[in-house]
Amino acid sequence: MATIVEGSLRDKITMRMTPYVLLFPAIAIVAGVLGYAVVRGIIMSFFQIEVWEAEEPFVGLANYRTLFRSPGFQNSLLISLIFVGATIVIGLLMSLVHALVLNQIAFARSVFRAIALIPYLVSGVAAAVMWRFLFTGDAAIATQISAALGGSTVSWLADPDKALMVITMANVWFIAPFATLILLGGLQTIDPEMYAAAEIDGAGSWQKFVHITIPSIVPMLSLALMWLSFASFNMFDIILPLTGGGPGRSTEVLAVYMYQLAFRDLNYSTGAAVMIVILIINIALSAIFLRAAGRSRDDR
Amino acid sequence: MKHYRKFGIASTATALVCATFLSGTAILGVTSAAYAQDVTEITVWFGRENFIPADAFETFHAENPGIRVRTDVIPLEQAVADTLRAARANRAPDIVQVPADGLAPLVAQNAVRDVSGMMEQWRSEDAASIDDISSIGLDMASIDDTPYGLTLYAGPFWYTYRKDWLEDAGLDVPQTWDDVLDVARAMKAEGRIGYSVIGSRAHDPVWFLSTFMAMGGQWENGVPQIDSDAGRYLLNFYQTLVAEGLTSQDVLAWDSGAMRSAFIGGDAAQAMIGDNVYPTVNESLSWGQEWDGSRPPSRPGAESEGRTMTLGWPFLVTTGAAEDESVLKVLQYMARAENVGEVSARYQPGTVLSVFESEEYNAVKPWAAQFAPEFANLTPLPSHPRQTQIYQILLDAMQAALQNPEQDAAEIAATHQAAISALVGN
Repeated sequence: MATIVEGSLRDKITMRMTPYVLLFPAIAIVAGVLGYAVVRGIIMSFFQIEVWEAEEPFVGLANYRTLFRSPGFQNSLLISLIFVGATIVIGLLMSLVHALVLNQIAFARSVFRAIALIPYLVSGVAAAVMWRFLFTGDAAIATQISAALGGSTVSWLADPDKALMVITMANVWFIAPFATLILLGGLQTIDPEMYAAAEIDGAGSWQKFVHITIPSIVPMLSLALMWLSFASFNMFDIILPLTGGGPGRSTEVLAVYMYQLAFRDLNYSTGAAVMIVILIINIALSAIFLRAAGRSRDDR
Repeated sequence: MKHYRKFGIASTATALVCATFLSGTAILGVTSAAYAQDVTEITVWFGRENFIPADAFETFHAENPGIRVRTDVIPLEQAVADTLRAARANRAPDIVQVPADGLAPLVAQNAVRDVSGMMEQWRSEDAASIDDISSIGLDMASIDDTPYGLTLYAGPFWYTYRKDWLEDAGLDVPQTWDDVLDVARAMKAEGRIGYSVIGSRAHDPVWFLSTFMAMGGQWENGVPQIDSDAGRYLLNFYQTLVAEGLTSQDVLAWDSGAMRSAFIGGDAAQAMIGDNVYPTVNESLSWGQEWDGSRPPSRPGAESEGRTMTLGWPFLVTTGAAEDESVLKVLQYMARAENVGEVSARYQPGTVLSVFESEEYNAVKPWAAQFAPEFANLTPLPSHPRQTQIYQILLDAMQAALQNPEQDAAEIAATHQAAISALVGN
């Protein structure tokens, strides 16, 4: 009898522990690689580490104070907020529409899904080069269309406002496919019987969308929002080759600003401070989206 | 019993594996130690693959069996940062090639060492070969007269123009930047881009500074003085290009590729083009007939102040490098006229003067003889420890001029000079 109890206890412990044991290598790798970088970044941001100075004195929060007073940082923060805000709105709408359409397609469904993912599979630098072709040079499609419509023939990348629009469009094109995939996953989990029941109750398409589709995919919407926001805040590989942060500093988002500080100016400590700011913003936004998703689930 | 037998077999197998591994390691260790006793390994980080001699040190190894040169390519853009990181981990190379403006941070961090003794030894052994290197070869690798290495390659920007178009229009080759604008106006009238220029932030503002120096621009302690006659003139020059439509309307998005391709593709009449790009220009246009180049023009009234700026990529000896003798041999090998000539013929021009006289080099670069006298008088781009941050402010000034052609150039110059002064603590 005692053996049976001991066996079942061991089984219980094994059952409970197995997921943690299996997760451990992944957690250890993430903690080792990412955790080390974050902790090192936090420490660096409290020191004055500049390549032209031999000493590396502890300066407390001085780097953060300097950063928040810097017009360059203020400009980058503002540009980032506009860039991320626009990407989230446009990207979420686009990916939702794409996901709904892909969910309805019956013919060659896998092919269309694969095609929709292509932008995400292209490297950021290659995407930037493609977008550059679209907007610069005499043969640029955007310039040709603008000229045909009687508009300006000046490259959009040479205009500060339009350049910001171009990088936003390129960013949406690049990262929205993954959000589409997330939302499509959510749509496929909805029980078709719910729609059938709603139809019996006389619900129209819009009512089904508002009262069944959206509430059912709230967790996925939250995940898509998280993806769009943090991928945009960290976006760097499209912007640098596309505009280099210009014209002027009109497209110098926080990630590009951080790169300039850390890898061109070799001002590691201030660059680390920008990294921490981006990290805090990302964590805060993720918490907001998760909380909103949780609330929505509770309401239901 | 069965359990013990299994355990015994497993233990024996493990022991065998361990023994094999340990003995293998020991053999490897002994072999490495023996190799290390006989051979000194010198690691050289080149900034571009093109800088590595074509024979990949094969001749050197035959001549010096006791020295093994290991090469790696660390892009110039990241060479300073990577060297500093490697130095902290005691993994720095013996010799590293960086842009000349990367020397100051490396000296500040004590990552490179004084090679005065090495240079004296070189002079005592073979004065002719060291005298064959132009003065900038030594200057661009020195700070306050202390040499930290040697610059074997230096690349200036030349004023480049469409000779055929100027002749057709009955125009003389510009001697001043006002003449450049006049040529640009005449070319614009014929539907061409008068002057091709970089306006984006894609690169360090070295073309901008080269023009500034040609206009008589001055530096104080490595800081460019743009709030000066030359600086104001330069900013006004950029403003005029935009205001009169003498350059591309997309200038703010133009990088070096766009600037060059406008000239090479037959759209633009004039540009500042690096010596290393001339072979590419010559593939599309015929030198001496369709295109030509000269030292950059000067500012009217400041002809005597104009200088031709050059970039340089010195090879620096790191603090933890191997003993002087081996390092010196590697430097001397890289500086041989045949090696510098071979690299110069396919890439950046060298600082070894005899190369300019070689028939082989002149056959590949027929314009070389024309520029040889100027090569002896190049002025290195002055360097400041905060150079990269100064560059960002200069890019701001350049783009402010291009975006606001009606604004007072003096105001732009003063604003950005104040920003530079605040940065460097003046």
